[in-house]
This record gives sequence, structure tokens and C-alpha cells, in this order.
Amino acid sequence: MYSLRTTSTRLQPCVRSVLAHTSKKCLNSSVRRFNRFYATESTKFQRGKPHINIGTIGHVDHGKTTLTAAITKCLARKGQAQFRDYGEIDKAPEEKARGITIATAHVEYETDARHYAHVDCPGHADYIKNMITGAAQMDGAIIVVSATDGQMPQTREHLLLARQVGVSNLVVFINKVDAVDDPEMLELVEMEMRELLTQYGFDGENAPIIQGSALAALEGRDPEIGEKAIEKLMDAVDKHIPTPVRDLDKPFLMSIEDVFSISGRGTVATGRVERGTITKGAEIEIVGMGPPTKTTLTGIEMFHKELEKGMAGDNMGALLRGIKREQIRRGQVIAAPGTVKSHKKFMAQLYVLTKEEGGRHTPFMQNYRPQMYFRTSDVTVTLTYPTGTENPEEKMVMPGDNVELICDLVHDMAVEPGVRFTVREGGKTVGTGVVTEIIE
Amino acid sequence: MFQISRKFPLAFLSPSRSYLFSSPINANRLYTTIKLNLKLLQQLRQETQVSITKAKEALIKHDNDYEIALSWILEDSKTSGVAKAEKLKGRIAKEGLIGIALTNSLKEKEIMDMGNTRGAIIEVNCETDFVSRNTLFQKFVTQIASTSLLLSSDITPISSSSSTFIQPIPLSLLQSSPLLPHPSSTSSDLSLATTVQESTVELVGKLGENISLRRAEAVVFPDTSNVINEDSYILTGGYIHGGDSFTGKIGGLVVIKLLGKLAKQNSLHSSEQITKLLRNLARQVVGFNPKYINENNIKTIQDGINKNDYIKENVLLNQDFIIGGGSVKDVIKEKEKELGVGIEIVDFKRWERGEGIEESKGTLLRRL
Repeated sequence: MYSLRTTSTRLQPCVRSVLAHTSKKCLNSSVRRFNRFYATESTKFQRGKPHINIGTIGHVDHGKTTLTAAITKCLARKGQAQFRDYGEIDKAPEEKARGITIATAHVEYETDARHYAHVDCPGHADYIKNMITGAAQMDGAIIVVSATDGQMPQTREHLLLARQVGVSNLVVFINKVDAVDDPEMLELVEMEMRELLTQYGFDGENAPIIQGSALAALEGRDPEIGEKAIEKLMDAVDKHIPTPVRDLDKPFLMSIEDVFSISGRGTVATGRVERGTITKGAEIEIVGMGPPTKTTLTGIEMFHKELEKGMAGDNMGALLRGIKREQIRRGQVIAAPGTVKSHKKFMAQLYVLTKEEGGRHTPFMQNYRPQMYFRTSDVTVTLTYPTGTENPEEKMVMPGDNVELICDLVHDMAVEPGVRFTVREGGKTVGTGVVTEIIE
Repeated sequence: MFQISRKFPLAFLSPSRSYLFSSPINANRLYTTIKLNLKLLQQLRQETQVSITKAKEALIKHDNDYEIALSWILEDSKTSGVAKAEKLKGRIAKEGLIGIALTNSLKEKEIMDMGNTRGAIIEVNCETDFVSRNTLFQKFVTQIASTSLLLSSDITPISSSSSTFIQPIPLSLLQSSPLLPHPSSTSSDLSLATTVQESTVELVGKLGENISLRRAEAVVFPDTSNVINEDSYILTGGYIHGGDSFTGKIGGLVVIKLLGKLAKQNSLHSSEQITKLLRNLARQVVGFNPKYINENNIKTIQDGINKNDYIKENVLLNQDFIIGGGSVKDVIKEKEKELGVGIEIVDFKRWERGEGIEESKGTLLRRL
């Protein structure tokens, strides 16, 4: 039996960072479980509901914060949320994610079907920062529009934002319907919204549009447009915004942290399983830094014990058939065959840290070459403006900017949209970003 | 009985007859019976971007007559926006845009006075960055910058000191001036223009946020007879970061003076050498945030701070130039030799949108 004893000290820091990384999630779910345990005995053995991240987007006076408060109020009655009042949400405390300051109000609740983390941010930049850091990735959004105003010029910016943060499923809430007495007007607001949604690449025809009054719900009056409308809204959210695939259900991928040669057994790669499950004897592919290599996983070990199966979140050692130690390196990934490809060039959304956040003091120009860190790899990258940018030679990227840039790696790596990275230079974090589109 | 029930609805449906009712009570009943033309309502919304309630009111009041409703809205927006603006006035507006305008980017010939070029920099605030990303807002900011630039030719300098070329434009003056059309617009008819104040109110009505013109400054020639003499010439450069070509998050203006026999040559001013240098100097100001033009301007340096480091970080002429080739001073010397003129940086300005807004109003005013 091969042993990882010699490597256990090396693994520890990585385990610790993994723990730090997941501690927030664990905390949340344990609190939830704790609540349920005391709520009703019958739910004791119930598995956790699927989890969804959503957000509210809308004009400052159209009632998105009132709506968020109303949702918690209505669900709190069923014991599925803790009521959060307007003032609490409106304050949107500043928090730090990956060293970046973001103003976000977090609200948590559940429906009969799912568990929700709900964010409400004051501005465009905050939603973008949330997307980049992954602090509050949105799987869907509720667009709030007032019936008295209808969509406003900046509603376009709201939809563009949704696009930019990767939200493709929207539910519209037409608020303040009690202030409009003409049903035809409400129809028109709805029709205009559908047109605009279609114009901006959403499914305008089928997007659920719910009419109601968040204030009525919050004040507990007019149940038809109040509480019932909120129920309808959450029902639409449950049905229309699909549950994202859990990490566990995705195809297997483990990023290689370290490589060892165990005499008599062969080469072992260690790392944390990012997603999926793998069983002993499975075919796998080693991707990155050149053409992919196919081989078989002949053994899995964790905590010095042999296992039949490894799964997302595990720190495991993988014994690879017929692979020499020199053939694989830290930064490559072991994945289910054909599920991830190696690329050199991609588009990314990058947030550049301010001086106060520990970032650069000065701007950088096109063709800047820092180190890019993602998963377990670090590789030199060249940053340029997207094609079609006017006067790229005289543009600058300043600390505090949110920019879309083309990243050109010096050698190919396993990347895909959604992979998060940091950009560093001389031991200093310059920025953090997320891959949005593969170019080649 | 039968006849009455047939006649009554008919009387209400026919617009020509309904004008017979003139008492206010009847007029109110009339509104509810006029069939709102939804197509027109939608068209009106698209054209004016007013709220749906306002568009409805316009059509109902004017019997679905599109043209009259449209002109009513344009007239009404000036007054009804006032109430809205008043209501939103107290809300913090620290988002927004910096706008700049330069004489060489404007079509108005009359402000290309004697060839010297000028520039203006302004800041308009709103509440969210959703609004500041909207084209209506961006256009508005661009127009105010152009307006400030035009105004600056009429302004007599407040200070006679020749070192301050960039001087504040009184906001009250700017507010009451007609808003210049957007540079991309083909119309140059100013007679129909609304004032900056009226346009702000109109925009508040459309965007529903507190929008305020915070500050405006422009290049003003201190003393025409003295400064613009035989062998000197004033040029202004500008750069805007984080937006389009006219508006963005950070803006900078740089004023330089050309000296010597060749200083007044037109071909020199429009040469790529000079335009690029001006642009890069403004870019330097925006990117590297200098505090002083040269080290003689420094009053005190705090104890414990390395003087050389401080100078290199905060003095424009001593900073490393963004385009390479040594310090700003070195590159300017190089250019002077190349072009055969003296080049002196006489003033600069760098504004970041929203800077210092969280401070209380009193301290802000003092600082400005």
C-alpha cells in the first residue's frame, strides 16, 4: 500500500485553505439545519433543499428593497425565513470578499421547493464585483418595475447588467399596482417589459411577470396584491429559474497540487476534487500544458487509506497507470475524458484592486504581463483590450476599474468560462477576475 | 327608456360632442370615458421617455391628439420635474460622471479665439451607476461640458495670478445658460434650447434620481494683453478615463504655453507631436494623480517622508512619463529641442467623480 505520510505536512496548508474557503457555506447550512431540527421533528431527516442564488435589480424608487423585505415577511410566517425590515436591507453593509470591498445586503429564506440566498446591491459595480469574486453569484434575478412609471431609461442598464453577470433567467415583478386603476395600463407596462426583455436577448415572451404591491405585503393588507402576489412571485421564481447543477453532479475534475513517485506503485498526483465523483479504475484525462494524456486511475487514497470513490471536496491522492513523474505537473488537471479542454486565449472580466485594497497605486497599459493564478496553476499572462476598442494604445486600466480584457497565457491550461483567478505582480495582488469566454 | 340608454353612451364616445360639457365635474367624468389610445401611449413613451402615468395624462387631457400631447409633455416636464427634483434633493448623489470639452472638439468657430485652445471640466452627480451608464445622462454631461466651454470665453478671470488658468465657472451662471446641443448633433439652433437648469429638471423627471451639477471649471486667459503676447501661445489638452470620449470616472485638463518665435505657427499647434504631447500630459495627470506642477510649488513635506520619493510621486514634472523616455521633464526637454519652441506646463486639473462627497457639506465647500 502506498502511503502519503511523507506528504501529509505538505497537504495540510492546502486542507486548511480549503476549510477556510468552505467555512462560510458550512456555517450557513449548519445554522439552517439547527433551525429545522428544533422547528419540527418530522423534518429531522430531510435532506437539504437545492440551493439557489438570486438578486433583485431595479430603479431606486421602484421598491426592490421593499420587495425583498416583503418576501422575508411572507416566508417568515411559514417559518421559512427570518423577517428583515426595510432599513436593515437598505443599508447594504460593506463587506470584503477576496480583499475587495462590496456593498451587499444578504437575505436568506426558503420556499417549499428550495433554499435561497438573496442579494440586493445599490449599484452596478457591486453586482459585478460579486460576480467576479463569486461572493454572491446569481443564478437568476427578479427585475422590479413600478406600475406607475413603467420601465425607465435605466431599465436597459439593469438588463445589460443581468446579461453581464451571466443571468439568463429573469422574473419580473410589477410593483405598486394599487396606484394604477386602469388594467390596460398594467397590460401596457407588461407588454413594454416583454418587448424590452426580448430586445436584450431574454425570453420576453415566456418570462413570468407578476403584478402586486410589495408595500401591501409588507403592511399585511390587500392580500390579493400583497401576500398572494409574493406567493405567486416566489412560485414563479421556483419554477422559472432552474436549479444549477451541483458540483457533485458535474463531470470529475481535480486540479493537481503535487506529484510523487511511490516505489513499487507508480506516480501519484494529489489535489482537491473540485467537482464530480470518480471511482477506482475509471478512465481519466490529464489536461493542460500540451496535448491531453489519457490514462486509468488505478487507486484513490485519502488520509492514508485506500478508497473506492473520491468526490467533490475531497483531498485525495490519485494513482495513475503508466504515467511517469516527469510527465505531469502542478497546475494540470485530472478530469473525466473530454469534459475540459486546454486553452491559451480567453476573455475575462477583471476587477483591479485599489490602493486601499492592497492593489497597485498606478495604472497599467495594454500588454501588461503579470502572473495569473487559478486553481493550482500560475502562469504568465498578457492582457490586452478586446478587439474593436478605440485607441487601445492610449487607454489605461486604473485601480478600482472593472474591465473586460483578453488574456493570453504563455502556455495552454485547462480553462473554461466561470473559472476564477487572481492576477499578481511582485507578490502583490493586482486584481481578481473570472473567465467569461474562450477565444482559442 | 330604450332611446336614452342608446343615446347616452354615444354622447360620451363622440369626442366632438363631449366638448359640450365644460363644467369641471363633467370634464373629470369625461377623462374616464375617453378611450386611451394605447398605441399612441407607447409611441409617446418611446419618444419622450416620461413615466407611463404622465404619458397617459397627456393623451387623456388632449383627447388622444398626439402632437398636442407631445408638446404638453415637453412643457409640463419643466414644471413637474421641479417638484420631483425638490423631493429628491436631499438624497446622496455620489455617482455620476466627469465631462470634459476642448475647443478643438467643438464646431463653434467663434470660440476658437485667436487660435489658442481652451477646455472645460465639469462634474454631474446622480445616485446610482445604472443612471450614469445611461446614454441620456452621458449626453447631458457632455452638453454641459460644451456649454461651460462656450461660457468660459465670456468670463473675466477671478484671480489675476497668471498661474491659475483653470478657473471655476459660477454655477448660477451655468444653470441659467442655454444648454448647447451634443457635439454629434447636427442642429446648432440655440434659440429653442432650454437652460441647463431646465434640462436638469427634465432629466430628473425621466430618470427619477437626484441629479446635480456639482462643479465646473474652464480655461480662462488671465490677461489677454499680457499673456497672449507676440511669442507665446496657450494650448489645452484633456483626457477622460473610464467612459466614452467625453465623459467618464476621472477627467484631466492640462494647459501648456508655447514660447519662442515659432510658438504662433498654426502648423505646429495641429502637429501630431504637439497634440500627442498634450493628450499624454493629460493622461499622465489622470493616471498618476500629481499634486504639483514642479517642486517649487511644494509647501511642506511631512516629517518621516523621503523627500525624493515624495517629489517623484507627487510632482508632475518629476514623475516618470506614462509614455516612457524618462521623467515628464526629460520628455518635454526632448520635445523642445525637436520642435524649436519652449514648452511650459502652466496649469492642470484632475477630478474624480464623487470624490469627497461623503464629507459634510461644510468641509467640502472649504476644501473646494
